[in-house]
Amino acid sequence: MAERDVFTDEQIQDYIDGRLNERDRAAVAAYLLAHPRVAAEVEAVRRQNEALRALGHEILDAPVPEHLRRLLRDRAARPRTESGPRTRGARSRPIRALPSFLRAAAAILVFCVGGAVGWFLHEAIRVGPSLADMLLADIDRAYAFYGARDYPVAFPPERAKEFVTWIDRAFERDVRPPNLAAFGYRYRGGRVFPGAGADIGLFHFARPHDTELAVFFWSTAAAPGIVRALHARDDIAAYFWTADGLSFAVIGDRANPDLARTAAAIFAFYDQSLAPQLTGSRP
Amino acid sequence: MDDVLQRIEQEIPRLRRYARYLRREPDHADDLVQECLSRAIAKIDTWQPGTNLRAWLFVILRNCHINEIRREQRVVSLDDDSPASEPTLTVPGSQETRVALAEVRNAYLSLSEEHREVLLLVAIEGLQYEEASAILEVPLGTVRSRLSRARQALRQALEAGRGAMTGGPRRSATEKAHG
Repeated sequence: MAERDVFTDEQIQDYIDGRLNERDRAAVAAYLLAHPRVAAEVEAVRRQNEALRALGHEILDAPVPEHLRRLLRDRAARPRTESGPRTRGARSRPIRALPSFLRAAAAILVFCVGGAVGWFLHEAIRVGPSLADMLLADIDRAYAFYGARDYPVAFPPERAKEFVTWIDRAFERDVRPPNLAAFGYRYRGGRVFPGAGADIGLFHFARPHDTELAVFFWSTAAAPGIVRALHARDDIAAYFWTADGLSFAVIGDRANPDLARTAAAIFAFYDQSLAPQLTGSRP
Repeated sequence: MDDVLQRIEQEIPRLRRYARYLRREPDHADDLVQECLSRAIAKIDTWQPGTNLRAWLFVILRNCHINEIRREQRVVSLDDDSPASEPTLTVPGSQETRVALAEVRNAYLSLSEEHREVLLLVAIEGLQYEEASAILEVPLGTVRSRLSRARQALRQALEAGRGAMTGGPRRSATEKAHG
């Protein structure tokens, strides 16, 4: 290139962006000295670049939201694993940032999926031992999500349609939050916790001044409808159920006398709403 | 790994700016950054030391954005009540500087999306062409030619904007002085 006295647009651009070696850079610089009109264009592009770099600068100068920093610091605070998904040891990680009910709900889900009481879940998730670890890893990341917000849902109720589309993409199922108004529950929002192995969906409900309820769901390879079980621990009770391709956990306050009935209604709702999809006979 | 996490934390402002460009609305932009950080943490072992961490994060951020756009397109088809808004990059500085930068901002925002994005990555964020190529998933030559056209379009837009302000006739394109 040094032998040439005319340069292409791209070569000039490479010069502006610092992509030339020393020899070619010197050749272009000499050319620009001899061609002030081209030099003026180069200078104009440089001024453009400077002006462009100033755009959005207030975002760079703004304080970083604490919940974004916390994601990384929580990860840094964890004990190291060799690689890949976290192991069951993840269960012992403190989850102080979780709101109390969802903290307990996630803990019981981790506890059950982790296999400590998992006779029923071993039936439900018959795809090899690694899935429990993957779910644990996902839940572990969920902790970071939970802790990242004052309110731990990505999709508040007003974004329910968007959330259902997200779910459809992640699970290839049209899974909608059940209407629990008959039980006095109001839908408060939901999340999908993305993971390398398995996504976990959450619908969160609350009854004013009373009790909360969480519906978790995730993909499974188990046969449909073979599991209906209850696990209770501390103040939390959980019901599990498996459809073709999806497992559900309904988790609520143990003292809630309506919990079993509510769970049954939720399972019936999914029996009805998912069955046409599962059999491929969607109307 | 802690060192990498610290470096990722230092990149958050850059991620927020890129996300603001991609997502427009500040809350959605930060949701996108959160999603990006979560995925980066999950696959942190796949980052190759010695490579550009910012470019790696931008790839993740952009993929998160694309996934979200695909989801939203499906939502819009069901409930088309969410018109797209324009980017909301603001300009800092004194009154005079703000006026000058506002011209640049308006010209920048008038460009096509692919021109804006390549300028953002290379001219604003200072990434190498190769890194922009990986982020945009286009060949290196496409980055180079797209960047050249973007700069030309920006100059034309700036001149058109100034011409409109003064009311005087302006050439729509700069004279090609080389080649």
